Amino acid sequence: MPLLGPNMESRNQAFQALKPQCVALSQAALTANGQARSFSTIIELLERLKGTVFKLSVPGLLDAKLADYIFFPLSQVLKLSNRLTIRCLELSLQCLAALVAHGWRQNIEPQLAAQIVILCTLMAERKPKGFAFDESTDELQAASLHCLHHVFDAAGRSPSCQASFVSEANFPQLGQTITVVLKGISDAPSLEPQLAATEALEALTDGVMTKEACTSFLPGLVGNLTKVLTPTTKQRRNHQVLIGCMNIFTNLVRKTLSDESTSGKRLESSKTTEFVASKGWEETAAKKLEPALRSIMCLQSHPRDDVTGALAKLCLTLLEYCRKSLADCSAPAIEALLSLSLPEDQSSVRMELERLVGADSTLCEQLQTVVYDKLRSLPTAMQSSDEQLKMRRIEQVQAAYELLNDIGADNSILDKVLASALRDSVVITLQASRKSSDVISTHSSSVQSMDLTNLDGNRWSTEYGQSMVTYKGQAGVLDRIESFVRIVSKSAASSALVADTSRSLRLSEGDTQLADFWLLLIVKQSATQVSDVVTDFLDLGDHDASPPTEALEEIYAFALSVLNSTSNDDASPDARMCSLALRTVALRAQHAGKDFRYELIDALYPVLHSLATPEDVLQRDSTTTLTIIAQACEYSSVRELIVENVDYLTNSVALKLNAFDISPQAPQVLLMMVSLAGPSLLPFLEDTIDSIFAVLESYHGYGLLVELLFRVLAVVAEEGAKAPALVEGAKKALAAAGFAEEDALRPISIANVAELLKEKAMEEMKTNAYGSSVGEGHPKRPWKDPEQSDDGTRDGEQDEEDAQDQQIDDADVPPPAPKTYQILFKITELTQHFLPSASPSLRTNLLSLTRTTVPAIARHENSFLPLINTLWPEIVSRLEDEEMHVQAAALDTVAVLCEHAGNFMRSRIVRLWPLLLEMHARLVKEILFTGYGAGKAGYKEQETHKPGAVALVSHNNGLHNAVARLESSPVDYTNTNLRLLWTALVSTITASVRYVAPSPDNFDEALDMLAPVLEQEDIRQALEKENADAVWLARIRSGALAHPVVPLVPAGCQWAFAMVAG
Amino acid sequence: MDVDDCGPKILYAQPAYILRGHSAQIHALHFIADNKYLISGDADGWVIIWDMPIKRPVGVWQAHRGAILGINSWPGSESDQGDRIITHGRDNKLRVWQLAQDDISRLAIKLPADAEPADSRQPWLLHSLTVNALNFCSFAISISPGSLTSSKTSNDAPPDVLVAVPGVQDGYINITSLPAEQRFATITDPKDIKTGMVMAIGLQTESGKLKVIAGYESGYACVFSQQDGSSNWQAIYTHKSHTQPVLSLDIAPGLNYFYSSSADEIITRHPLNEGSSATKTLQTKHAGQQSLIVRSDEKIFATAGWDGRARVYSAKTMKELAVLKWHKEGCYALAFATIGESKSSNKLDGDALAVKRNLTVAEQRVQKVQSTHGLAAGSKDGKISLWDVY
Repeated sequence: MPLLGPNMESRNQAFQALKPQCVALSQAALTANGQARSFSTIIELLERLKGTVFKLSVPGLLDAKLADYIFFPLSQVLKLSNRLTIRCLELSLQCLAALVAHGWRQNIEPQLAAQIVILCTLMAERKPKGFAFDESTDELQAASLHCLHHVFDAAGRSPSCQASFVSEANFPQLGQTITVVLKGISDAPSLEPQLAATEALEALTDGVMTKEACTSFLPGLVGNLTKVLTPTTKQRRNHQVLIGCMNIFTNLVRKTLSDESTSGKRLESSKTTEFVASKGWEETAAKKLEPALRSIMCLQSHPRDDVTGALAKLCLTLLEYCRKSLADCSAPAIEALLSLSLPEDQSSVRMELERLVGADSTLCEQLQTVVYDKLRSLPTAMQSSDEQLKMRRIEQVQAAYELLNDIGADNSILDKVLASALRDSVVITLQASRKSSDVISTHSSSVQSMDLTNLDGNRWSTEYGQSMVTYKGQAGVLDRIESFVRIVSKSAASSALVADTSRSLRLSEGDTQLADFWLLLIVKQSATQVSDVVTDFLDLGDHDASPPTEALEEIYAFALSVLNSTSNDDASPDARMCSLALRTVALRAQHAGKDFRYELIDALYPVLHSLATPEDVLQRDSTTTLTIIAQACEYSSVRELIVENVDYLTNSVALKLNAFDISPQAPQVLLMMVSLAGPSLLPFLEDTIDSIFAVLESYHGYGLLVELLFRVLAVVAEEGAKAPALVEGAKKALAAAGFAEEDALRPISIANVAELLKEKAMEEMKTNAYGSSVGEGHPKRPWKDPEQSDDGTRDGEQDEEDAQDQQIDDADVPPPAPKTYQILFKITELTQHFLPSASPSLRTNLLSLTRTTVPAIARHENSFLPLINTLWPEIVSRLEDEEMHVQAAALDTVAVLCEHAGNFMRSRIVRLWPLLLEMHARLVKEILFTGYGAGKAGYKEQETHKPGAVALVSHNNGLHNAVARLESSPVDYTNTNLRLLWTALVSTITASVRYVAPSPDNFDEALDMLAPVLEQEDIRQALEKENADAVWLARIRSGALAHPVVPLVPAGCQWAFAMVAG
Repeated sequence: MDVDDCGPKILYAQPAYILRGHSAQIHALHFIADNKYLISGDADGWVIIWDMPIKRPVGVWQAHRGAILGINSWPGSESDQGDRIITHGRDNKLRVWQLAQDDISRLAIKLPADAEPADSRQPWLLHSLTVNALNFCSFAISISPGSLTSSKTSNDAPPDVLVAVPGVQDGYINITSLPAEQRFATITDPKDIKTGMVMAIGLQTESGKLKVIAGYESGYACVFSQQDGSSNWQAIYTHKSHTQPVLSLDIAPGLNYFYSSSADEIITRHPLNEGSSATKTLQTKHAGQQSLIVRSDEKIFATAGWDGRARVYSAKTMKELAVLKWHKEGCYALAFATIGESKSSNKLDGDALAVKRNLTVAEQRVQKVQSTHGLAAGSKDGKISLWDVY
């Protein structure tokens, strides 16, 4: 027994506490006669009572007897209900609710309960009749509904009470109550009454109402609940209400229409014929329920987990218990469950669903039908503009498919539509992008953005970006499709999908082909991953591994054809296509590993080709592919990959150029190859260079192409000049130029004459002294080394041969590194035809190219000197180019020629001299004119001139200063050309003086021209070598040197001759 | 390849690949080991073995101190251990090399074009004969008529062969047997006509009888054979169709023809036996057909011209089928990949289904290359162009 010991005591205490309050309340109620004051007393008392009751509302304290005791005054109050204020009623109902819940509980008397229900039903209405007020408040409504909740709760536990509630006599009242409660749920303006009503109804339907009762009230209940549960735009239901209603719904459905109950009832129905429920009724009910359920399913997208959880419960109930009776509702329930099982944390739902579907073949079939329909309608769904919806659709299909797979269902019918559904969906998604203006990709058109410095190491990522996405919305959808395809590819369906798609790939074009390619690639990617994982653990034998490999071969071949077609067709294929192709190649490489080296002969060039495209995205993909290939083939870097396979590249490039393929990619790749592989590659490029020449000849009008090709040639020249044999040669040539210097004209000094005379005298003396010994010849060679004496005879022969060789050498020595040399020579020779080109930048580039090759070519004088002869007129004509920087470049070229051809240039320089003078005069004028001469003339003078050094001749002081300012002024756009030209002119004149040994007249003029820059060390040295005295004089004149002053006599002193003793 | 699209009309195609590496003219080309390797010889005496699947050199050595005149394999010497190949050089040497598979990997691969190559390792030299090498006439080789029976008894050793080279005297042909290195015969030119130097030689063994075919400086082509019992060599066929020296000839024994090309514009089809149809000439309108070669299936033959083009002709009709233009300078040498059932391809066909999926990338490549009907053309520019034809 619960009420013993200390409980008894506390009960007494409680009673003591309650007694005065109850007495007071009943008195107040009795005396109350409609006056406002009396009501306020009642309110006060009720509030205190309520406080006490609530305090007592702990288990075991309040019992039925106490409740009865408390109820007495309350009933007194309630008798006045038609006059009471809302507050009074509210408080009394709250007390009453507490009494029911904690006092009477299951012991509540049926009559009392019925009365309370009647009373509460009255008061729960929005506009209750027979009260002192017209409209009820939320609080009152809530209180009464609350009270009902507790009553029903209690009644549910008391069989007698429950029986009386559902007795046929009580049906009208029950109906009334249900109506009111339903209204409370749907129409109550605030949350509290809604919640209370929900709870009340839940208690009623769950605990009190029997199946029969439920069945009779089902239409109304379902109708109203559906109204509440159907999401509308007008009203957002509270989630608790929704959950409550959903639970009620679940219970109702399970109670009235579950398969067991209906089948069980059929046995019963023979006995209890009075009951209305029949098969016919069930059918109508099911028919009516179906739309209701469908509208409830809309809640599946509700953001709250608990709501969707409740919905899932409802759906699972439908599937588990009402499979037959509500067969029509299975499909929507499955559908709803599919999307409900999507979130990660809802795996239990998925498991439930899996269990259900796995156990029942009809459900499984139904699920398949659902998936089938969904697949069929997927492309249509893809046309919608709601990205979220699209993604959900795909996710659902995926989930369902996965589930079917997991339970091992036979999906062959699905697989048939799978490929086309996926393909069409992708196509539609892709096409949607075309209409959209919301394009994210930016196309940069920089063909030159191939950055060679990045080729080292593994700095490039091996992860691809999105290949297909051109606008934001696509990403999500395509992601979903991709993950779906990955699921499919792990299943048995993959082969069907592959077969279908690859068939279509061959026949389709445009977006469809793109879609096919994409799908296939994904399948392959995941298939390789799977087989990797699988073969890591298991040895399945070969029969399993072969189909993916074969299909991979197939798309690999397709990918190569895509990549190769870039260059052949006028309309370059879709960049997305190329990008997929690149991925395929990378996949193939990863699959083949080091073995892929054998494929590089075909695969490497197309990849590099795509690297040279103007499209940013493709370039990125291309670099990624290269990195992957390099890794797969176990090269340490992309550079190594390229250098090791440069022969293949050479071949591809050569064939491209030979076929007069004038897309810029091939030269780009060539450029990259040459600069990576260096001079050793050049001997193999002979024919390629020839092809370039041929292209240049045929397309000389295409400025950009010509420039690009010459850029390639320039790189070739640059690398060629680095060839070891030629570098060495260049040094020797320099030395030879130094020799030439000694042949130069120079005045004979007295010392020379004296030496000459001495030698002469010595010779005469010798002849006189040893006159007799002249007849005897002396050995012309040193005595042989004893070690070599054994083959002395042959030695002699060899010597003769050597001598012969020497002679031949003198006549026609083959140039060092013949092939490279020939290439350089040809390139240089070719420049003559393009020097008059219209593009100033090309002219400059050509001149600088010539400067690059000249040192190398100079190694072989026999071909170099005629080449100068050929090039000279063109170079000279560039001296009168309209662009100053071209003039400067031409001057620089002349300087380089002087350096390497030495005295061979003498006559040319002499002829050129007037032009140089003229240029100098013009330039000087310009320098003075453009403001370098004006202004602070005295400013520089003080800095540069040594103190005490005064120019003897000051006519070109202005120029001097101007030049100094020109050279010291910061680089900006205004003076670049002028400065360039000036520097070039100075260097040319210096070079001509240094290497060519000009005539004395020319030297003087050179000195004049160089006067402003004489203070530069190297220039002065060059001039001094020729004629130091003249330089000294010039410096004196310009004031750069303090001229030797006759020492002045200090004031007050006199010169005196020093006296020398003796 | 493009070939199929172009159909029967004259073909103007792109080469499949260009082999670069020789720095001198290519004088000889020869496919060995079921087309897996191509051997090329140049005017400086360098020989390069190219691995066809990867198109890279696997062996480079200087076989002769002078220009290579001809390269051929020792018939019947192919085995798992490798081939014997014979090179003939301007240095008056005929050399027989044993190319074992294992050896190939040990050879140097530094190309002559790369720079001056250092002393490189050579394959095992089996024979080195001093022979005459007056002009550019290459040697000819055939299985010795007597060795067909004896070779069956000892499977390991390759059959005896006869090697024909021009003699020191104009118009003479010396035939030497190998490995015995003994003079087998000397054939003198027919006295009734003026032949000049021997320019091209062909040997043909049929049912134990040897036929020697010679092309002469004067434009004559002759067939010699030994009359029964007699040791004398009689010219059984003499025909002058060329106005210029014969440059090359090749035999199509199945068709009973041999073909000759010369420095003039004519290609001639000669009967090999008395019975076959008469001589037929083709006026090609381009002079200088340095090399002529018949494919092993005898369906087509090709010529290498001084105009830089290789041309493919039908062997039966002598109709021009394709012009292969890539080289800018004259083509000097040609080689057809062998077609037909070789030992290893038989094996592959047999269990192709079972084997196919086990092939690695490399093996697939090899298989593809071996089954490709390639033609290699070597040119004065030192490059070899590879073509996929028919």
